[in-house]
Amino acid sequence: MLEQERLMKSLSMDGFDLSNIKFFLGDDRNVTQDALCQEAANALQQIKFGASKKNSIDGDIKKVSLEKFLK
Amino acid sequence: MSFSKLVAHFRDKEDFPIQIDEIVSWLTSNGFQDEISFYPVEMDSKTLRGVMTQYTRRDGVYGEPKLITDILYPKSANACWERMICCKELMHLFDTPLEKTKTSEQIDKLTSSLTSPAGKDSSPDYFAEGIAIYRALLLLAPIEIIERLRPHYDTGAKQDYDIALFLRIPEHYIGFLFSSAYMRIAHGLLGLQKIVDIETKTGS
Repeated sequence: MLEQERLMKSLSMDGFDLSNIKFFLGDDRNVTQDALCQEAANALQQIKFGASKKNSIDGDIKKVSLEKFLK
Repeated sequence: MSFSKLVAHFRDKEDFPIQIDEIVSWLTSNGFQDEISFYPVEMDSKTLRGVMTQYTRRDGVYGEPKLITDILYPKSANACWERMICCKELMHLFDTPLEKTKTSEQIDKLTSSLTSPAGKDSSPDYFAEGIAIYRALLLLAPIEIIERLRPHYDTGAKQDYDIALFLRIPEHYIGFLFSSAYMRIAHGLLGLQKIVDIETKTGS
């Protein structure tokens, strides 16, 4: 329950109105609700503490045509 | 504007991988969100691979509200997982109002449902997560391309690793892409989307 409260605190910011939050679980099928909330709260806290944005997800990945790939 | 329109936009591409930046550009230029930001953070990927928050922000008392999405993922993720996580989280922009989670009670229900041994595989929340993953795969690995790759995959000329590298998605998903289940889910999702589109248009 404490971790759930921490998660809610990490989501509350002045001038922000939350409309949706979603999680992509890892491979641990036995993860507990507390562990999930704790990990999410820790991640969200990092934004508050100035984690830097990544401008491009694709970076240096070059495109290859299907034709070239199949040759 | 619907998910099927986004799929259609990328359907005829001949060059791969489909870039996440292209998807973001489509989503922002079609008014889904004003800003989408990605944050690589310290995260234990065994527990959690990604978090997506969607919110409105008002800059100043008289400022127009802006629709913002933040996506967080583990710094340690490789390029394929990074793309998959970010794409899956972007697919939640298509969540219906009923699927959105915003209040303390809804978040408690979602986290409880996702982690409950009894609820896994059958809860609506777990199902919605699955839909977002399938939608991400449909975008990054269009069914038309999978069909053209199939003869080369079936003969072993192209293997899981080759295709993962070409599409830049985790190797973990490649076997599934060539299964009959993927085709059924793909046709079901796109077919279902058509029904939703028709209902939206006719207001039924």
